[in-house]
Amino acid sequence: MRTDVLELDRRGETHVVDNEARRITEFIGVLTDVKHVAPIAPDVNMDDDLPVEYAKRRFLAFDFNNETTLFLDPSIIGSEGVDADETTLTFEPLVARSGKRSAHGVFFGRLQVGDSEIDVAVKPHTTNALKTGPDDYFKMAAVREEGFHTLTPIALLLADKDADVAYSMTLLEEGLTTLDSIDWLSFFPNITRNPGMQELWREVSGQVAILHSDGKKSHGDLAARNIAIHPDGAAFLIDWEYAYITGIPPRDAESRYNRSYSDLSTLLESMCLPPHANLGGVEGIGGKSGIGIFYGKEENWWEGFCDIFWDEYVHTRLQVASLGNHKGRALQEVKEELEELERSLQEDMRMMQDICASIPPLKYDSLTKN
Amino acid sequence: MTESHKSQSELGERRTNPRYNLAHEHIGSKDIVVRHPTGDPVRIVTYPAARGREALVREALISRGLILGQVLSGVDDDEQQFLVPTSARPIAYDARVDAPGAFSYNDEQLFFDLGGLMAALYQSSDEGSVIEGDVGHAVAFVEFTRPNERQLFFTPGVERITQPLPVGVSPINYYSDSLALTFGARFNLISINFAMGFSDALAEGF
Repeated sequence: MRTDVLELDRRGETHVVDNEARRITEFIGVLTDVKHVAPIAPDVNMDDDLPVEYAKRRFLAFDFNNETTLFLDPSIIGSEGVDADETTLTFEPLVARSGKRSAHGVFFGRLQVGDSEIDVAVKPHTTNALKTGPDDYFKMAAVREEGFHTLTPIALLLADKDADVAYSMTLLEEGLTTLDSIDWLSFFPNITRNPGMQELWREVSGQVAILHSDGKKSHGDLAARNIAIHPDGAAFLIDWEYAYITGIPPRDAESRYNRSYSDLSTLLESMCLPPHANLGGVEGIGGKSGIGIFYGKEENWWEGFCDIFWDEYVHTRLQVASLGNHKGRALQEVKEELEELERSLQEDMRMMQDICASIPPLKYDSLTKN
Repeated sequence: MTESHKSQSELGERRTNPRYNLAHEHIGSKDIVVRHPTGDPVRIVTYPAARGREALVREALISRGLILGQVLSGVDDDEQQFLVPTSARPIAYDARVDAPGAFSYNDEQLFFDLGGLMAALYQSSDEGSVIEGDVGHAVAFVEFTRPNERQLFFTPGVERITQPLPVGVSPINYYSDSLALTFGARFNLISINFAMGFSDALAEGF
């Protein structure tokens, strides 16, 4: 997790200290300690009941020898590894505006490995790192295997077992930003004034509906900060570290609901909470926040959620369920699941309205924005 | 599908997502992503060329590297074309970023640089040019740069949305109203950075 701290200055006032530079220095330190540079090719069998977990166990048992190792996609390193002494490893940080609300403390830079230079997003794992680092990397590989567009996993740096540090890296897509980088405070209720943004949400609804359609997957942290958009109009989900992926089909409507509800509940919360909410955090750090689409608005929030997301989600879920070999049973299960989802989400929305009512506006939010 | 849409998709062209789009409809500019069968997509902004005072403003800003992208067209061409970075986006829709640090391009830095850009525009013509209307779409931001590289630029075609500064108005007061319209009262929190950026750039001279 991100570890920003508060520091006291000489006058006794508290200041937020951004630890990004410190995180980058630590990363370069681990990179300097690398003993081996090895290829990584996740062997995920989607027919397994826990495809990622089994693939990860095989990887840790056979490919990692407990010495600090930089694993790289074979497209960069080839199929044979090299000793770190035989190659150049450097990292040059890049300046960004995106990703600064990442709970994980993601940072960006140019990784040089021998003659190859790759722009990467680096995600630190500092707790239970030998589990969470490979989890993140392998889950991305698994969802890509399933045909979903997401970031391209490119490298995994595992420090020796005692250090408990890992870094998962993805190719930095130059044009990519996340939904939390957009100022949504004036989007609702006049959503038709921004047809481009409406279209963007339709794309997101479709992606999430398809993710949930077979009842075997959930994203695990479907906040707005984990939804990415691209200049060519594509929207897709990122940060799959907490994803649930199984090869076993859902037993019934209830098991489908369990997968989809956790995602949609997180998304709804993220759409309601304002960027400054910081629920459970201290002095602006570590708490839960959102993009505040509905925050501070008097209009009907549930109707807004339906217009922006839910109606399209339902439409796509029903459309997908009506295809395939077992469409009769699947369609019935999905209808039951959607009914239950709607009840639960309406309840969540009422709760969010109460919570948001207790969050005072930032000074500038109280003034009218054109 | 209309004929124009059909021919666009056949060519692998697509209008850039509204979040990123740098086009100004009222001057007839367009922002498209072109997908080549072999290679990465490229992004091109086109607009009808400016003449007279606007053309002089354009040349002044280009000579200082303040207009985004690489010029593909000739000075006398009727249509101007710019190859722009994929990540470039207007600052109009960006949420507040207050994270401090050497690798964070936060609001303080953004509005300081914005002040500098507006000062450069002001100095680009004898009568003092200013943006007419929405500043949020006249300026674009580029992600993932090396430290000390420029991140804020005018969008291609900016000269077409400039005007001489109205008589009796100071440039900083002129922009304060305009920026408050685009960024809401959030601008009030950061207006000092804009003023500092403007003053510093004026002091440096054109």
